[in-house]
Amino acid sequence: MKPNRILTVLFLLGLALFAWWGDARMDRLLWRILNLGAIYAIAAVGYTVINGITGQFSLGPHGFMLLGAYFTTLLILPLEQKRAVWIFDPLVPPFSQFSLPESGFVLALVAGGVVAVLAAVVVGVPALRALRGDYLAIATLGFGEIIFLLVANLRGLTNGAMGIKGIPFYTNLKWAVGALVVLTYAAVRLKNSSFGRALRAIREDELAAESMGINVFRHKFLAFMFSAFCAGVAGGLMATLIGTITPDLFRFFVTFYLLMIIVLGGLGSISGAIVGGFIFATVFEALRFIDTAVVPGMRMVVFALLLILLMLFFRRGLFGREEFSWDWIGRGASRVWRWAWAKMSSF
Amino acid sequence: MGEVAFGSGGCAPRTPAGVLTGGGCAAYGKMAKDAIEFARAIGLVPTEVLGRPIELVYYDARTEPAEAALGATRLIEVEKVVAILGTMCSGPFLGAAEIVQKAGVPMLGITTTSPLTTKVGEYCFRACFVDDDQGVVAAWLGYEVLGARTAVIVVDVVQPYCVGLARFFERAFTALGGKVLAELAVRTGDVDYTAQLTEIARLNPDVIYCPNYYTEAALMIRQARDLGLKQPVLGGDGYDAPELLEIGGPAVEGTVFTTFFHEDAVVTPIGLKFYAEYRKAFGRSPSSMEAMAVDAYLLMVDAIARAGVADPKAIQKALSVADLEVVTGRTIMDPVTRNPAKDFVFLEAREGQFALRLVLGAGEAKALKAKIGL
Amino acid sequence: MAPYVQQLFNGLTLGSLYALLAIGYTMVYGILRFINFAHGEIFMFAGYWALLWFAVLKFPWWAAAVLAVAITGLMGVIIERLAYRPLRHAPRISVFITAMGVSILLGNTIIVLPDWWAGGRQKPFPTPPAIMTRIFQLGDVRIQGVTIWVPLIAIACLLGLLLLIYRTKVGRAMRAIATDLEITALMGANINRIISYTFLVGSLLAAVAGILWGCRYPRLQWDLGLLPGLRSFTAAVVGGIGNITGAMLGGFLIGLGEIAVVAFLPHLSGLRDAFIFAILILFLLVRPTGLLGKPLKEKV
Repeated sequence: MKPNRILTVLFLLGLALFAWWGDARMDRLLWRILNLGAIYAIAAVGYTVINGITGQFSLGPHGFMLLGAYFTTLLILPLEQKRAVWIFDPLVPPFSQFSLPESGFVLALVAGGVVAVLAAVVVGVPALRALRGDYLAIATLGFGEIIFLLVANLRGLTNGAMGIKGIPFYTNLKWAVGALVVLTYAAVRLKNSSFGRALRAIREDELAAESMGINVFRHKFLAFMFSAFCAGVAGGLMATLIGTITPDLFRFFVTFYLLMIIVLGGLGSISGAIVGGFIFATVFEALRFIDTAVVPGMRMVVFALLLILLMLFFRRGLFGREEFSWDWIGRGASRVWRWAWAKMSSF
Repeated sequence: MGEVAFGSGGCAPRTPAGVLTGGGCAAYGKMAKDAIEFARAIGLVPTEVLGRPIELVYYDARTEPAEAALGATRLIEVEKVVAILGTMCSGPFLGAAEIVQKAGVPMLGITTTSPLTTKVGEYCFRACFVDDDQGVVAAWLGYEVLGARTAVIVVDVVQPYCVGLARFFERAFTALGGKVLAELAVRTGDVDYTAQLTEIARLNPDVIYCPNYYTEAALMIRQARDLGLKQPVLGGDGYDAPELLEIGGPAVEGTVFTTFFHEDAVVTPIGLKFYAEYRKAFGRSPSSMEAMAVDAYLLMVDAIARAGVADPKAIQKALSVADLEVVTGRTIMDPVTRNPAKDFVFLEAREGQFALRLVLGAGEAKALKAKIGL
Repeated sequence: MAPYVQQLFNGLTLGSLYALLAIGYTMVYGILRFINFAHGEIFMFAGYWALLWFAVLKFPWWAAAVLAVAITGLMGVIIERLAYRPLRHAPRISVFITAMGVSILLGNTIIVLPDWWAGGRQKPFPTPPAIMTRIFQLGDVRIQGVTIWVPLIAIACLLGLLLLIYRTKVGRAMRAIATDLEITALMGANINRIISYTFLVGSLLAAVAGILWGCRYPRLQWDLGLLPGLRSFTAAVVGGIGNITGAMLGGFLIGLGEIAVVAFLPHLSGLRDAFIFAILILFLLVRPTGLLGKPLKEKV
């Protein structure tokens, strides 16, 4: 077995042990931040696939996350909560009649992802076929808003603006990191396949790709569906982390956060998206003092400035378009070693 | 440990977003914080309990449930608070509620009127009345006091507070014998209500019930008067902000709304003292939000004192049987629902100020509810 | 009958305001092929500048309004210089993200400004002089003075703008850049200056719209610009992005349409924005060049 592969397996094992330990023993605040980081990372991985790798500027992931959150909730919310929460417009069947037990959590998450994908189909078929660049961005933004309005108005399904409480706390590091690992694996396989190469070709020059025989629409569409699935799963995990959802849980600001994350990580880098997600969750919490020390709202001013500065001076991001590789450590280590050796030899 | 820490989660300006949200919570939290600090500074409220100083740790929940959840976690895990005061608005309370319930730390909502908040568990309390009742008494005011038989409801469909109040009003108004002709939707951030108002002009109800935040209500009432609509407008505690008068101008004269506090309705000694000192220091009357914040503080300190020990579980028990005279009146906590029985203060915008219209006592409200079968 | 006349007037006013904003979007897009996401925030800021001069520094209303428009126009130019110009040759996604960043920065700056000027809570817009606020009664229809002024001012602006574009050297340069930026640069035109002028004009128009908006809807808040910005952008697309008359037309259509949806379907008024977005998306799909736009040819 290649040494890189062994390293990856060891890393994953270490991660699993860390997740188990973290769920049991870790300080709760840090635990929460790590979960949030993983959730953002999941959505960011999908987002970087469509925005970064395929170069299709979508501004709608928040809508997909919302759908995933609500659908997962509808499946696993205990029946007595369902009766308690929908106090005005009663919950519609079949959701009012059954609820999945905890063992159905994976199913509920996947279902949330699938519903997001269905919405992506509705959005994607027209939008991806006909629109590019800024227009696509605005159209997806519009769809995100429409999703929000539908969720807020379809009270029989979502309890509208009142929101849903009492969602069981199923999310923990095992699930969040586990989902992240699975989806990262899928994304990496996607990126390194001919499918991924086609996506990158589309990003570089759509017309040239088309003339090379790539079915541009089909590729864009599948990438879009994948990103929607990731967003949906992230949404479901968020719902079962916080325990309450409202229609404005995922508004446009979430898309803004995701944009920051993938730009920071490097547009088109999956490793970048993951690292970016965790950095963001940590920094966001760490910078909270700005809101208390200076004036409330300053934190977002700082963030907006950071985003602008990022775009002006550090557009490449942390990883650029590349992925993390164990070889980097190897190369870095050997470089350090050679430098140290040279230093010692000069005495 | 040297001090008793208890946390206060307030609401502050909303997260910016590419697309709007908003709502009335901006700066309510600041009002609460300032009011509590003021009360402590002038010695109106105790700054020590169980022989130790009370340390307040503030946390900005930004009116977002997710932030509130993080905030509650931080307060409980890092700051190790024994109790939490907050939030002002129901949305963020729900976000934090599950956390505090799980962790077993009591949380006292200040002006969280949504019925769902105390249903989360026995560690979730509120210091104010519930929207179920607020809607009922508003219907009563419309029907019995103003003599209205038909009403149109204008509701902000994006805000849970507004949607809930609208529903409760509708149920009660219909139960009293009135008829709700229509329920028209607006959205937080809307500026143009002419279409809805023209429809209202066509329907010609006796009263308009608009349980939205002052942000939307002020403009709507202005436009209503510009269009020549003469019906009285009824609102909820979301109107209780000076901006209603600033932005609404002379148009809001005669608007009536339900809220928690008014200086003319004060009966308790501590309430009178608070009012007098506040007036002396700031030259104006305290608003309901500020009064309620001080109330929440008083209730919590009292609960800790009665518990005898700075332990969240003991405090929870003590809080559930609270019976205390606070700024807005006597507050008796119901141990089963964890909702206190509170009086309803009706304010009317009169000559550029909020004047007291009348007070409906908690007992009378309860009897009213029973009478109409709700 | 009267209610419909009432709605018509209101729709025209709203439409004129959207039109003024839409022109800014369309001009910038025509020249730089990029959607200035921060345009709505410029519009919002004008009202706050007016508040500063009028309520805080106690200038007379007219002076405050003029100053506000001028400063806001300058803001647009400064933003272009600092945030967009460095990225002129960068991939389009970069400048779009930057524009979003500027938009969020401006909105949140309002929140952190002190309460006596701005802040997170709403502020009342300075009350305009009586000619704006007087109510005229024509039969059953009641109109505020502003309702009549706004379309008049908007049309005056449009005429002025068309004069600028078609009768002046600067305007000719703008049209040239809109056709082909590189060639115009090669011909010796000072691209940077022309682009700055474009942003200046667009921002001035947005500022005028902001002041008029404040007269009609006197509530200032940090997110004032978001929905009108999005709706004006819809208007620009509907009318034909890059086409100024189209932006005007689109503005009126969207304004009237918004009022009409609530008037004819009052029980769906909660979903009104969904309708507007649906229209936007429909146009983008079916006729992206809008009603008055020319079909774009893609160079291979």
